[in-house]
Amino acid sequence: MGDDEQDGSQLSDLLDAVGRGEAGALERLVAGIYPELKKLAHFQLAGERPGHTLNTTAVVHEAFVRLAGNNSRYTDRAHFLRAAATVMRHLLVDHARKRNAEKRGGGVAPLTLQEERFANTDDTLAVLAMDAALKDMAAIDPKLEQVVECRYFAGLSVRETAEALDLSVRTVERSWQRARAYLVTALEGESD
Amino acid sequence: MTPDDAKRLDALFAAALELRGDERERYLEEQCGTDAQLTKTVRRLLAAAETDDDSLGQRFGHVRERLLQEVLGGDESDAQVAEDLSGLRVDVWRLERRVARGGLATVYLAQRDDGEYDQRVAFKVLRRGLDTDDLVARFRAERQILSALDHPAIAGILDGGALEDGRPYLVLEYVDGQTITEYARDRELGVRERVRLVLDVLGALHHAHRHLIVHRDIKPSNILVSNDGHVTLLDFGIAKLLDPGALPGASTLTRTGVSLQTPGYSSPEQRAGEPVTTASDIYQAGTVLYELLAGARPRLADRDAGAPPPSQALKGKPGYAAVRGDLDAIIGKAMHPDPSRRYASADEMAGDLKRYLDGRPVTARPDTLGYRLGKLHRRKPWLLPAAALALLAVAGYVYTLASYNAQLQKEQQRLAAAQAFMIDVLASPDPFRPADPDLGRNITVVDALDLGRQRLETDLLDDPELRESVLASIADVYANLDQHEKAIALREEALAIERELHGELSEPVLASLQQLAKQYRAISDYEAAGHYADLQLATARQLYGDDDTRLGIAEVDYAARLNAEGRPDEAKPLYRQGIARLRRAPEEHAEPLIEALLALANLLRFEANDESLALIDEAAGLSKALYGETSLSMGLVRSQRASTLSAGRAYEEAAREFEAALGICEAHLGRNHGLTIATVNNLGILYNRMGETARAEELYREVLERRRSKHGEQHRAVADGYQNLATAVTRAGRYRESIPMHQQAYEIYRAVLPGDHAVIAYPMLSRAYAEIRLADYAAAEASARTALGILERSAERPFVVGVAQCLVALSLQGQGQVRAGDELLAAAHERLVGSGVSPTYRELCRVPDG
Repeated sequence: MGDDEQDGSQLSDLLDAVGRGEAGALERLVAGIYPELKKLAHFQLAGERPGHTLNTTAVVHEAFVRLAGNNSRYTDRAHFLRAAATVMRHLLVDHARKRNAEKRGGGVAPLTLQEERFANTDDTLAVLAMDAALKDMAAIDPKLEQVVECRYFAGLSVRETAEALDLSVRTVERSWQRARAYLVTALEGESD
Repeated sequence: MTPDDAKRLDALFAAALELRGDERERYLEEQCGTDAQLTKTVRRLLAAAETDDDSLGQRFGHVRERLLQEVLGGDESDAQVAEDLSGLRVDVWRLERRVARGGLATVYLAQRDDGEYDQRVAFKVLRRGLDTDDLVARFRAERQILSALDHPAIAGILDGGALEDGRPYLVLEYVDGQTITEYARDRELGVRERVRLVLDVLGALHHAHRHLIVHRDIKPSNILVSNDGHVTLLDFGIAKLLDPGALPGASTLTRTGVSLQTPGYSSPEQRAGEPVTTASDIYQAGTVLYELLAGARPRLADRDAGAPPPSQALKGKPGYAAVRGDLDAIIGKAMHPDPSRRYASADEMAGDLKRYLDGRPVTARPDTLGYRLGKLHRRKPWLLPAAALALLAVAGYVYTLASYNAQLQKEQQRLAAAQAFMIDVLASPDPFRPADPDLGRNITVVDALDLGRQRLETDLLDDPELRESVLASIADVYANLDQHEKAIALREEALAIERELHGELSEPVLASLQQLAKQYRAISDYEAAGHYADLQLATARQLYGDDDTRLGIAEVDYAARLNAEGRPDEAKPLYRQGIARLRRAPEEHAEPLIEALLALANLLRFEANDESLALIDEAAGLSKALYGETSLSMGLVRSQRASTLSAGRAYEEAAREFEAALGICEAHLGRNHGLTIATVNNLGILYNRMGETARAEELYREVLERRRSKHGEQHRAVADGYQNLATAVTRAGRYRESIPMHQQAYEIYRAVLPGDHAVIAYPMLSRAYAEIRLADYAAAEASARTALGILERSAERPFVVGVAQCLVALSLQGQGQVRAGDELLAAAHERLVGSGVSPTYRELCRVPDG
């Protein structure tokens, strides 16, 4: 489904499957929306508005509109956002891991120049630390991991997160506060 | 911790989170009991749960966007994005590796590759496929903007051009450092040190604003601090001339500009797409200071309504007490949602930060008696203990402060009015001329200023104070742009108004006198320069009295004038006097003090080499402490040390100092700046002394060419260039070739220097030497007599007169007038024995050892 001619119905079926909790459906959805997210983000970066900072939230929403069309259902959108958050996390963590390996192998000097610079080592480590902290959190309460994925990796608001995870806003807020506390302590530990 | 432990901890934490105050405390006591480790862990989590949502979110958001940009933008199959020009040679630059990639451009670390200098630079090239007219124009605009700026805290432009495929590139100063926030965090800087970093940023901003350039993208990642604490403001990629958007034909740049800003640091008016002025930069500088002090930016939602005081984010943490109050007020003023309520200039904001550092009252604070008393107590604790004394002191203090504030307010209004005028000028070019479609794109700072000047001539700016302020500020910009004649004309008009308004004895008049003396000196009009220098010194004496350190500035300025006029013996005592005065407040007067120490060291380098070195060490100490090891100021210090070492014949050490100085000058100023050229020249002189004449000659030729293209023919620096080259050619034994060069040097000196200036004689001395070598004794006699005539009128050292006498004597002997020659040679020997004359002349004149 990475095809340009992708029509909405196929996506809708897949989203339904995710909704039913069908085995492997989420993975297929993730694999399916990855190319579209990538294309959109790339378009936003190198396309008609050069120099513009990438806006993750806009990319995610635009991807949904393009893939699902205008007559999409509310639940489709929720599942899509949920999947997109996972995609974004994997993209970032994989990349950070690759970079980190390059850094250790290549011994590249710190980057200190104008223009938006490549992410530095600290940034990459922060992403990896966050990923590790999320895994710990999932063992305590899976909601915590999911909320952080939506909020940070897909840039969703609290309301959108509640929608994506089918939770109440109040629950998201509470989980969010707890998750943040775990993250802060985990990241502080990292820099100690 | 086992998974079950973690779950139990989480349950405890979640429950405690729902409770407040005493209830929470009781709950924790019940649940944790005596388990201190558990209590500690839960408390740590509870504290972390209070973390501002934004502080973590912003940080992570930033990382996320950056990494995604890489992962998505860096697709290997996409040649456009993956292009890597490492290894390519462009002009004299070899691209070493890619160090940064932005939306518009890729930046490489590059190295000069013509064997001339070892210089690392940043090579910024427009990305392939993006070379549309708009973006090429933006690139050109950046080049133009950077060329207009010359400030130690702004990464300067060194070169620019186009690749073979037509894409434009810029060569910029390479800055090796950390972002300002990383630097402050890693070194655990205190509040005052953080404020000092921002002061440097404001210095750079003020410089840009004076050139009518708005940066528009001040944020930590554009402010780098090197290991030794030198601050550099980067990336004028979206900077622009003050509102050219209002000019016809410039809409493209402005439109693109709006979408290019970094949202996290943009001002409310930027976000609203409204016109951007210097006030937006002030806002962004305020945001950076906020982040440095509070650890994170204020929330976006809060920012539109006016930022909350940064101390709020520090409650219960170290730094709270230091930030609360003055710094809260200063940041509040800088980040005011209404641009007109912010600081009117970067200089004004810097002034308030300096006042904060000095413990003086800041202008941003609401004016309450309690505030003043608190300040007074902290600054002058001895004033308050005795109640009676306190009343008197406070009454006097409040009075002074009130008049001071009134003055300050007026200054601000005038500054704001002057700025408004300049914006107006840029917004409305001559209405009688058809709009020039290229005007907006090609307008230079000088064009803009010329428009302003024209308007001043036709417009009845009837408020004399406003007119004076506009004249003075335009004059300063002209002066900075090397447009000395225009600067003089405006300054003289400003001076006339100031005399009318404030009387002869006033600070504005003094400032204008100083500027005029300096500007006239710059165009080698020593008569006018002398006139204004006389007035400046007299005015400063009367205005400040004999006991004020500020008088020292006028004294060393006057000494510089005497020195420039070839009266070193009169200059020396005045330098000493001025230096002694400035030493009493070295930090306040650091710049003139360092300058004077170096100038005096230069005058003493032959006769008192040790004292000269001591003065240089004093200047070095000041310069290093205040500006850092690689500051431009340090470059000047090292350059002077090299000259003094060379005068003391410590050639090897001198060469090392010169090379170091040259590196600093090139890094800060580029290769074509006057100071860089002067340093190359001095290195040439040194090679000459060391006997490496071929190398020296090559350097001299380069210096001469650069100076001629910069100043035209009639300039003292060009004459110096001819003279040095001629000497080198003479030394190489190419006497005939040297003669026209000597002649040219002599003619320029005679045209630009006062008649009795010893330097005019120098080319005639070395010309006579060349003519003697060619056995053209009649010509040699004429040259040597010309030199002798000038030297006898001048205050030159006796041995130089001796050299001239000796040259006349040898010419006479060569023409058969042996007795007259012998007599004159004996007279010459009296002056030459035991002097510092060079071996060449010692040998030629057969000076006996003495």
